[in-house]
Amino acid sequence: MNVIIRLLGLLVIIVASPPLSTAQNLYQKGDIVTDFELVDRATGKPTRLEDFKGSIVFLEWFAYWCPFCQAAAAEIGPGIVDHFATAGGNINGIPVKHISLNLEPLSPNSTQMFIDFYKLGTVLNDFNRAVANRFQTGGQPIFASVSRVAALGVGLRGIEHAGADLSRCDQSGESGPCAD
Amino acid sequence: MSLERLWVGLACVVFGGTQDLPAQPRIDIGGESLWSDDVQLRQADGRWSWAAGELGITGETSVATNHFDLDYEPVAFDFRGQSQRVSADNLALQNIVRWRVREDLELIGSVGLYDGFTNFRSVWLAEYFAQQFASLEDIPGDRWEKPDPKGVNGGGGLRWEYLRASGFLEVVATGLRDEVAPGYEIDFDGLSRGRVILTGFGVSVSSENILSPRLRSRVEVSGTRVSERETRWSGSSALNVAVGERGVLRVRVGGAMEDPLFEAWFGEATWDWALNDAWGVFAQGRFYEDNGEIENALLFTSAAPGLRSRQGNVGLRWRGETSVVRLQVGRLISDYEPTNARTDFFQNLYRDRDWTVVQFSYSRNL
Repeated sequence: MNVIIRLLGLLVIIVASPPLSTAQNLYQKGDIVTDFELVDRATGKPTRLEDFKGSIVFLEWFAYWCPFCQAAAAEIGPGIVDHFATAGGNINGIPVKHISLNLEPLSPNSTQMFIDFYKLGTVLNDFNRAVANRFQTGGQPIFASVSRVAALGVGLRGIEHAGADLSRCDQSGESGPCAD
Repeated sequence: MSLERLWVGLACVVFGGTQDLPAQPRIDIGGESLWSDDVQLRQADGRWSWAAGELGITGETSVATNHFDLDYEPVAFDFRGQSQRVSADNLALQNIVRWRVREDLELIGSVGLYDGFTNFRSVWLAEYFAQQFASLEDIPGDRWEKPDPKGVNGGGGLRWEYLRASGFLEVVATGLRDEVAPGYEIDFDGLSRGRVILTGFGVSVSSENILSPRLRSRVEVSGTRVSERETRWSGSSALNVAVGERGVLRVRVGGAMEDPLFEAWFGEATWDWALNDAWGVFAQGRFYEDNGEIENALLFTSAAPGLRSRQGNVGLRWRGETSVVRLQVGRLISDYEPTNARTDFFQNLYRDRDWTVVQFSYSRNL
């Protein structure tokens, strides 16, 4: 899938940025993601990762001024959101939920223009990078996919396998198709 | 044209500008127009070649102006970009003086300046950066500034005519200082503006020889160093062959390289055929290829991908007692390699184009 290939190209660039702080808190592929709570930009209500239980969650961070975020956002809609919506989920029938995380607290009008232009759905505010810093410090993570959101925890998929994982993952546990 | 290609061009103007000074006073005027479906370029230039015979001094004063019109089109995913008609002008002055201090030795001095954008690529990029960053007010770091490109150059050298009227060696050193339209990068530390002032120094060595009544050759090697870049080495070799009583074939090949990765080469050939004493026709073909500019940015780069271009011209020449008129038309096809994730923002700058070229020149001996 061309979109996936291009996105992976972006990921390589981001991942190549050296971390600026200790890596002990960074999630690694296969880790269980701790539940988090962020404010939904549209409703102002707190939203937790576990609210998306039963879905594969695809996280996309952005700031309105970020050129790479523009390029990525334009391809997420048709390449991932529409694709899995049309297909009724991934190959195992698990729905894929796309969550955008806004990193820029200033210029809310510009942020809204970004959201409208790229037709983003759920947008959570991650202003203090509470979630972003768990995935990458120094710079900005663009994508991460969380393979299964269940009551007992959340499996984090390696972001370098984002596209493939979204297609393959099921909820059979760590030894299932999602695990490497 | 990229910055690097511009430098090569400037170096050619500066280094090569001394080679064809006429023995007698002359004026040359010319005009050129290139256009594709989204870019139009127009250039007009004039040159006055003069001589102060008693002092052994000759010189050349030239002025050139360029006008750029382009239909700026952002990429589809650029939500801050807007389609825009953009225009810019450039004015350049150059003066070269030669002083024959000995029968076989000339000293050479040159000085030049320009004001304005020197190529349409710079105009395009300046518009992109303006649309992206001019309105950012809450972002830390540098602020966007309206670009005001201009520059000066000066040089000196000598020509040693080791074979009277049939062979010389020329060495010219040139320094350049440019104020350019800078690039920008942005991340969570804020906006960063690239270098505005570039300085450069170059040395060129050339030799021209009349090998036989029908054969003339020229070889040139130069090295140019620009702010914080590696030295760019370039060279070219040219051969002019008189074919029969009416024809001249000119062939020129050359290349350039710069660590760590840049390589370029070109080849061109011109066939000139005199129909009679007054009229002549000529045809020219040119090929250029490089592997793309050196990317020195962390994430975001406007460096051009590899370029391949082919050009073909045909022309008509009229020669009178003291005047020469030339008119030529041609096509230029420029093909870029695909952009990548770092350069996708510039897809509409680095896209393939088919250009039409029209050139006119008039020369008159005074």
